[in-house]
Amino acid sequence: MKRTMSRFRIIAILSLVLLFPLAASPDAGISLSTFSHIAGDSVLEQGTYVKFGGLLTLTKTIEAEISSTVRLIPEIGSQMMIRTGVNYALLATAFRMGAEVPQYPNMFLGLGFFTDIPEFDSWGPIISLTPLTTGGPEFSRKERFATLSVAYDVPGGYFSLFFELFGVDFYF
Amino acid sequence: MKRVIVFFLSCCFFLIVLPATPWKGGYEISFSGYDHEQMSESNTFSARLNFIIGQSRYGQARFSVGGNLSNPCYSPVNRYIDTSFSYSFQAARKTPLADVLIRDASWHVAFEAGFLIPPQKVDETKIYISFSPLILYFGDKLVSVASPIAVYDFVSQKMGWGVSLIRITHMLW
Repeated sequence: MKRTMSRFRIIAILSLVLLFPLAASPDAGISLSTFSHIAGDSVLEQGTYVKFGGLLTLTKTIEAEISSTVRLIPEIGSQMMIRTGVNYALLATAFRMGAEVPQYPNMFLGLGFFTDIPEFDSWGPIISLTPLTTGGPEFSRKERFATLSVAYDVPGGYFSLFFELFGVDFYF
Repeated sequence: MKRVIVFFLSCCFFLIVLPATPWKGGYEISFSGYDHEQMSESNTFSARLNFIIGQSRYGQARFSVGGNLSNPCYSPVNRYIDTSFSYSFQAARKTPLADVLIRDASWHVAFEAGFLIPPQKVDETKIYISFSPLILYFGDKLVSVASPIAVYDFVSQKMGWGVSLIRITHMLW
């Protein structure tokens, strides 16, 4: 199982790295959001979590994401989950378009891979849907509302449902 | 008909004056977490009404009342009536984040003291104090991040701590 896990991790990281050159002039940013586990078994124990990470637009409609979900309460950093993946813009472009006025609202569908660190006991695919985002690289900021994610823990064989009510991305 | 038009124009005239008056109140939402033996450690969502009860050139005094609820997946579930007084004042006219913000904002700080009242067990009321070191003040909106909280329970005489991850106040009237 550990061998499969490490292979899966390497593939996920390599895929992400190989996708980076696709971006001709990438928009990079940092993201910050709330994070809650709302249903099913969880790879994370009870606590107050915050999610932060980085974003990079790869194509007109795809952005790459790497993020870390960290427990703040009761013990800072006692639980951590890493997620990498790509988000697909469903309604409008996710890329800076220059003179063209972009659409302000958008919707994102994400596909990625998660693992808890440093134990690496839990890992698997994660799918997320953000039904409403406002802004984007053109506006130097993007707000995300009500992101729902379904993760499947392969070693544990269970699904987890995560919810991020509010998040903000700041673009450089 | 003439009377109706005069009445309508009079209403419009008086309504125009309203936006010129300073903000009096709005709503506030926040996410926080608490580490106290009688409280859930999971994310607690709070929604409150916010009233400006005093204003000077240095700062604003506010009264807030509402409720908070923690993640219902985990027990115990925090269910409290959350009421507080706070005082915020300007620390700097420009924020270090000015380059990444679309709108102009000034940097405010605030002190807050309040009560967490369980609706069915009022005798288990907790008192809390909080300090907000980073508030982005946009005029009609305030965004506060990373505010530490100290909580004290009168019955168990136990102290706890917490942090308000983000609090957004939007003035409406």
